[in-house]
Amino acid sequence: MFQAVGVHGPELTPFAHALLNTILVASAFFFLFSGQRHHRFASAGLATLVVAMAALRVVMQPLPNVQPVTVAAVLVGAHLGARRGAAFAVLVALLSNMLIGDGWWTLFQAIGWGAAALLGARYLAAESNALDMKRLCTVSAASAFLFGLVTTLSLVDSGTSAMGVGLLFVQGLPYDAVHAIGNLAFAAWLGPSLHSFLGDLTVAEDDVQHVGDVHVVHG
Amino acid sequence: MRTASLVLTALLLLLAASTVQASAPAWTLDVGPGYITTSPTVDEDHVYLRTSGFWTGDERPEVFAVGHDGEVVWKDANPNATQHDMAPLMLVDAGEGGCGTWPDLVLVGWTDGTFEARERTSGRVLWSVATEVDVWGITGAAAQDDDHVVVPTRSGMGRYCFADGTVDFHVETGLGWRNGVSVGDGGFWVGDEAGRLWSVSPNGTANQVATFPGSLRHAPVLLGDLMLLHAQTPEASVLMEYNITAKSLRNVAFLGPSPALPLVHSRGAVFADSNGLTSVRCDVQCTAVSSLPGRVNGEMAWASPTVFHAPVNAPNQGWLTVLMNETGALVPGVPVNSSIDGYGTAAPAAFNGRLYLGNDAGVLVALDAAEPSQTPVEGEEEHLVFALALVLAFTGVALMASKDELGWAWRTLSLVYLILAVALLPALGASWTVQWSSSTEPEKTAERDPAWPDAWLGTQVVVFELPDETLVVGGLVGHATVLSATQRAAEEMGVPVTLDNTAIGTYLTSINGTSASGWEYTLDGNRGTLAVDEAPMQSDAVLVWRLA
Repeated sequence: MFQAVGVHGPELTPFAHALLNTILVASAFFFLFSGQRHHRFASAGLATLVVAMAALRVVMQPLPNVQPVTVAAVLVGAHLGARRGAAFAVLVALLSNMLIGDGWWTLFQAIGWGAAALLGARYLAAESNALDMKRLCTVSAASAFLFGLVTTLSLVDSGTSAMGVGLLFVQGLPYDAVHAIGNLAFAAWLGPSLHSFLGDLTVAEDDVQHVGDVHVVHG
Repeated sequence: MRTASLVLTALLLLLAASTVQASAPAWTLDVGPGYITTSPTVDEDHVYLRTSGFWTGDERPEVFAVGHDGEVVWKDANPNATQHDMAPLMLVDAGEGGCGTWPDLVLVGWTDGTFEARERTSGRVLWSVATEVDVWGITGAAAQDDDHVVVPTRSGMGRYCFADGTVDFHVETGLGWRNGVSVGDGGFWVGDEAGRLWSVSPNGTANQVATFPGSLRHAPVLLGDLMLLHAQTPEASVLMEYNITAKSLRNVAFLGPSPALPLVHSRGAVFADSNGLTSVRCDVQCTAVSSLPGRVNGEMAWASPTVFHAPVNAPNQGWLTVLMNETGALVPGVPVNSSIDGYGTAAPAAFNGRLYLGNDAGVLVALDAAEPSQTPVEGEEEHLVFALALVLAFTGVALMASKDELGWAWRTLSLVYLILAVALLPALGASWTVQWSSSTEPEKTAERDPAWPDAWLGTQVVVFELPDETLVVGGLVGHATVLSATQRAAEEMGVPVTLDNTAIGTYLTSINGTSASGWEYTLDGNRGTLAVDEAPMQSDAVLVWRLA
């Protein structure tokens, strides 16, 4: 499966590569379509957001560890729930890495952003129309360090000790700090717009749900 | 919010004022191939300098005399020297002694073992002596002893008359590298690569007096009855005090890797290494009293009785200016920057209000330090624009906050902090990683192949494990980083390498056209964790490049 251990973790064989991507795509579809049915408008909106965020990530790639995807994952998790947040994370990771480099690390990036979506769903659930900016900033900053921790694990191999893992994480802290500061900037600049966009998707779904209920009652 | 914004603006104004500093060169002189590894030396008429390198083609190291107007007065190459020539040039004024008279001299030691006296005005060789060579010959600093010069040779010490080079004595000690000689009341002192300290009497009898836990690569610092020595180990260094009377050793400080040559003053010395500068004062005992950060691996020099300069061996950082007060405390001053900022180990020479700078770029720059900058040097305009933009941004934030536009103030502030963080990340990330790497050093694994020549012992070796063959180059000396050693080895083997310069460091992307799934390096068996331009290279390291 693994050809060698490189600077980004194990180098995958073509078969392992294909298998990993298949698993990631399958998990994205599982997260998307399990649970309740979703309105087509919401699905199309989420797909648009996936493409937009992947493109933004590619464009911003020259800036070290500035990751616009994290704040988006937090907000998707908050508005659309942890499952679709995880699907969003997987799809953005796959799509953007197709352009900037795919490998073993894609799995960990998907998990990292999935964890950010989970944090968003857990601590930033959109119960009202107003965006709690302080909470968004806190969750976004914390997500940066969580993402750093998860992606550090991609560097671990059989020869890495527990202390070595800790050392790798500590060595990455300045980069995680920049990620966190970037998240604060994205939260300030894009947070309200994304909140509004995702809020519209939620409203559309709620409307469909209500219409469905009416049909059931009268049917 | 309003108050905080105003405070931030004020801080930024101060920051901008303190970081924008550059000087205009009076002239520059490209001295051709090779590095300027040792400090220029200056007299009323000339600036003397030498080039060094690891030479394989037709080019060889040279010694130059340059007028204060930047014109080369004379120069001469040594066709036999192929290793890094790092023995400092030594100026001796005209005089008279037991074996005759001599004119103004510049004394030059070479890695082919030759030690020669040249007439300063013409460069003519007045006399020369041949000393032993074991891979290299003379690399340390000689010292004056009345009408004689005492020279640290490759495996011993010689004393020669200024007038005609008559050999007073030559004695065996141990194999040395940059191991300068000190002249004391009762004789001479020198260290060697095995960490042995030698005392040599005036009649040329050598005695080993102490053993240190690392190589001794500088002239022992004599301070009355005490002596300071900076012993270099593979990954760090230890500063120790030797009591000449009591014949006892004592640790003074545990310091960083790749020590520089110490800078001596009447009550102590300043030591430096890859982690920074350390000021040591000696009374009854020697104590480290102050420190400053900075990667300094070469020579330092006094510009005045209280101010000295130290070359920063890292890109675009120029030369530190440090003020030392009466207690030995080090206070950072405004660094000296020029158009040639880059890797370097040579201290500037200060003369009549002018600084002469040279570094690995092989360019000598004369800076009129006393004059304000007239024309912007490379990078100055960018610094000014950056500082101005920051000031404007923070002023804007303050204004927005004052008008209760807190949303926009917060957005602008977050953007400014992001820009600052991205700008600071390369330097901060590299030093942070180095700090955490050095504090938890893995066990060193020997990667030396027994089949390699003995001449490569104690030198840097680079291995390229290509898909079809393995290429090895040894005998490399003086490369401070993995990048420098890799480029030198590739050049020597005729193997092209391609590099990718990113915001967070330089990465090697292909060797001999092969990129495959990427290259990674190990240093002495330990996997590299830093970008190649940031990874320090020990003097006896084995660097192996393998496909990931």
